[in-house]
Amino acid sequence: MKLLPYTKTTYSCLFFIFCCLLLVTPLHGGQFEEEVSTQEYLFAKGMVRSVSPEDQTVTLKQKKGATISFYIDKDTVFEGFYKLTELKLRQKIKVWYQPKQEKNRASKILKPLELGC
Amino acid sequence: MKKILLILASILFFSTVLHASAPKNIYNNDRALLGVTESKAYFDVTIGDPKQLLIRLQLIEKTYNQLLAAGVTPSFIVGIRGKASNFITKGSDYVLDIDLPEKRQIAAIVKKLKTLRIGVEQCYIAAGFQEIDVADFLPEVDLVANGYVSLIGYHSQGYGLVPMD
Repeated sequence: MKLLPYTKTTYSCLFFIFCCLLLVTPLHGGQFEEEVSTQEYLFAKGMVRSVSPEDQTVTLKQKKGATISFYIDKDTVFEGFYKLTELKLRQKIKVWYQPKQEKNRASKILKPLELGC
Repeated sequence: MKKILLILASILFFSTVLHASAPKNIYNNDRALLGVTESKAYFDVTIGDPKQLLIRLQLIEKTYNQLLAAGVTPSFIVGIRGKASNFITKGSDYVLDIDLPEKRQIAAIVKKLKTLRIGVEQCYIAAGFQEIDVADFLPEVDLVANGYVSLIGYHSQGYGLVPMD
């Protein structure tokens, strides 16, 4: 079957978009997965020191470090839980956050699976 | 005469009150300990609440002393794993600031258990899960490769398992 010239161009464009998506998806998926700090966000892990659903804040105590407070907004991603009230005192969490002038904005909070061993 | 009667009445009253307020412990474990001269137990301690953990450890010490008082020679192993591991570390790391008073008390009781020749063993796998550096454990604590293996091994040696969660 002979393809028309414009059909060939359309297919080429579609293939190009597909390739771009293929490259971008793992990058997007990988964001906030690696336990590292980047230029865009910082990473911290520790245990919950306090939770305030009223103020929408969480305070985390790092195992050998300082205590850090974060505020939650509508774009904060919760993984492993649905509501802030589910986080309990001493619960281990991981936070990816953006440091701000006044407060740190939590981009993602992950509640890891309790291994129990 | 009146004075003497008053003194006697006071003595009688106070002795009655004292007697009533401090009743003799009528409970014992005689039936369970009948013919027992030695006992071996493995305490599986995993609890992550500092107050509860402290009570559990105090209870282990009390149990040890009560067995001794009953004429039984105890041989105890305290196996630590899970979140309890965080509280048997040195210094102020791994726990919240509000838990530090209990952490200090736990360290003191671990030291006391060691003087009683009660083994305190920490599971290395649990330490890994809790992300605790092995060098940070209290010096009285013995690290073992796998707490479950220890539990099974001691059970095979005749140690009774005492779950503490």
